[in-house]
Amino acid sequence: MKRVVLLIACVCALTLPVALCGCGGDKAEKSSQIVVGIAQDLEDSLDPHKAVAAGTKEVLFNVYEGLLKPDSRGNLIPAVAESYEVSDDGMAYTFHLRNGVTFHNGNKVTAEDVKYSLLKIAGKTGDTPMIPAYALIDEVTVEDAQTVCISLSEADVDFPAYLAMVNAAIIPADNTTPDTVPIGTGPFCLTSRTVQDNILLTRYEDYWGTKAYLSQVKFRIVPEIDTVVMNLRGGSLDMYAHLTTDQVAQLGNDFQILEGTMNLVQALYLNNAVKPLDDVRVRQALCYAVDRKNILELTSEGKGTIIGSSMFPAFSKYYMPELSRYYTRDIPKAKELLKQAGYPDGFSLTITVPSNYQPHINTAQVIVEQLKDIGVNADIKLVEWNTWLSDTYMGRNYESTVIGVDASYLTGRALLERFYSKADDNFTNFSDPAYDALYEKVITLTDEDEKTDCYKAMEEILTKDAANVYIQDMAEFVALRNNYEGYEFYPLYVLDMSKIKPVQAE
Amino acid sequence: MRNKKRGLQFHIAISFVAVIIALVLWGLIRTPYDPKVMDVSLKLAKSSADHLLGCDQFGRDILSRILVGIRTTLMIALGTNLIGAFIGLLVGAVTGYFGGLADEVLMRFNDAVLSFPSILLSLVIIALLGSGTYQITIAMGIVFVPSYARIIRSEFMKCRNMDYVQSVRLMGAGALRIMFIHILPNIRVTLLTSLVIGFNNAVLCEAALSFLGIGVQPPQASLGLMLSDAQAYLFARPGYALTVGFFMVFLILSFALLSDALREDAHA
Repeated sequence: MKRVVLLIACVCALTLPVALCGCGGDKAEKSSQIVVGIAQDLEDSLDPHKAVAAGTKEVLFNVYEGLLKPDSRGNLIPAVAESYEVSDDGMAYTFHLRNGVTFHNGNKVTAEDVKYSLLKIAGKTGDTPMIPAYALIDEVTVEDAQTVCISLSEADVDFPAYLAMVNAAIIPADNTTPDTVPIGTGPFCLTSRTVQDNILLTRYEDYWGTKAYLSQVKFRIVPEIDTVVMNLRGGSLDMYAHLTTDQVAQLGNDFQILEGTMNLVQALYLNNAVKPLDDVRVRQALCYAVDRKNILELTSEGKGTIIGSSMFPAFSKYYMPELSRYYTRDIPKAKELLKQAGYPDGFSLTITVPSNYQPHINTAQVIVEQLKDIGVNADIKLVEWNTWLSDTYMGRNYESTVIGVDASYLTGRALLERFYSKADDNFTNFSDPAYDALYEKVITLTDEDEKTDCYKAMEEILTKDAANVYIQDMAEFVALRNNYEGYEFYPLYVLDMSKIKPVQAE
Repeated sequence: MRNKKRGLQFHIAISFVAVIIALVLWGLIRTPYDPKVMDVSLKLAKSSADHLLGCDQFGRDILSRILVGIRTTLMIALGTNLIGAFIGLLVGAVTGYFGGLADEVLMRFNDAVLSFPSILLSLVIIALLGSGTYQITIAMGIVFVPSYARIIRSEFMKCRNMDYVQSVRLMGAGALRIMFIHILPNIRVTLLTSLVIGFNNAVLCEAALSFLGIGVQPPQASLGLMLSDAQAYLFARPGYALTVGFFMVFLILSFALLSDALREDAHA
């Protein structure tokens, strides 16, 4: 009994302060509500500066905004700030705040709030910075009520991109409990949350930009991926964002299916430090042995984009389509390379795959078949996600693994940093002096074009050295019930609900 | 065993089991197609003259995979029960025959193991051993020990003071001889029926573990793994799941009938 009371108290504590904020949560007519399925609850934190999981950030994207925000084409657009200037040495940024931006509690966004938020993400108030780049913020000065100046300890041309992440959202300085009381400036406010069940967003009527079309968005947590199709068909969900071809094939005519890409680099990642994969010829042989088109046809009916390096097409600036054609299936050549490397009869290889990602398991199964043709005897080892994280990713104790790697911010560095030989997250143990030199050079450059050229050269090295067997950026499908429209794909992992509108019934 | 009229149920059960053994042998000698070869053009193909039961999501022949899958599933079930029954027999015989302190200690330990849900316990053991066909056989075998130990213990307790045991004991036979040469043959019916039931439990347990992705590793085939694959195509191609499901039901039904028939046979 005590526990029940405690639970009720917790729920009240969680929802009450939210309900007090100035959200226009009027009785919404049925057609302007939507129920969206998500895979997991926002378990990490409602504080945007502490959000870790991609699934949390995609929801909080609707509630919070930074000084800048990304648009669906990958550009940075001004949000809380109206414009900004960079000093010539790239060390100081001056942001001019937009007039009339208010928090969900009705208060105006002041320069002090911006200063508070930026110092908080930079780790100056006790938190650890979510991404290392935030630690570059050296000082934040309030010049006048509408102007904030940020000085950096080191120039970084990608700095504005970091500020566009949900992790750099502007939150009110007087909110002492951002973990549980989410107050942002986004098009929706978070009005209630039932742990492990749903999250309710309501349209923010005083939003500075184009107001959302829907008055209410309910994110329902559907932890069991296999029940998603049934929930959609049964009518308890109106939308689900990360579906596979197989799931889409089972939906009826009630849904429009939108095709996008997952913005992941799916590859057979190779541990470059273990024998025989430390030999570049062996890695190239694997690249020649794999038939990417066949993988796509078998696992996703040909949907998805074949890639050839650690970059996906949504990063159009850095993406090099020609690299995806660098290795095409060539069994004699692969065998020749293996012979040169001293493995004329092939070798055996273990492919570790996390058991909760069926698409990766499917890809691995096809690869196993294809590698047989060059005498490589591959075995699949399924492990739990946590084991994968600790042993394979952190411990680097594996031979090869099929996984998708994503980018957390809008620059090439997000994907290419991990192949620097000294990078903490270099789980493939890739090491190449030319690559390291380029990486060390690129982080000091300030000119955008030079940077892009540098990133492209890095991509080429990854392809030619066959760092990994790059496969695809997987296709992903969004199912949206026919009486809604307006879904937009982003190059980042976000669900922008403010663009979705109900279709007017004739 | 004396010659006596066997019931209809026994004949049905035996013929079902014979069918299963025939399927396994067929799969051993040759399958219609290589169960691992993929073919894009046959992705989720419906049944046809070439592919009697159709093809799965990679265009692999379902019939071939079922033939191999039944074998995998049965081998796992067999291995599991051999491990479970062997260790269970040792524990049950010792505790049931001697009683006393050994009984107390071993049985409390037994109770402790039994109090874990079997799936959870298998998960723990698999976490230690890693996943794979042999690993789940061992894990499930260990999980099956307590229930065998319990059944065998109660049989031994029942028998240990019976007249024939007393007589052998008076003739000076040692404990081991009494336990395994005199008592064991007399509890064979109980042992046999529990083996057959255990077989079914093992089939279901394999299915559950493979379903969770920690049992048999793809691209190998087992009924549980195929069922978990098929589930993703439940609406698009219900035949796939139904076919695999049918074979699993058939397998379990046959052994359930057999166990019933054996028991009735013993009482008749």
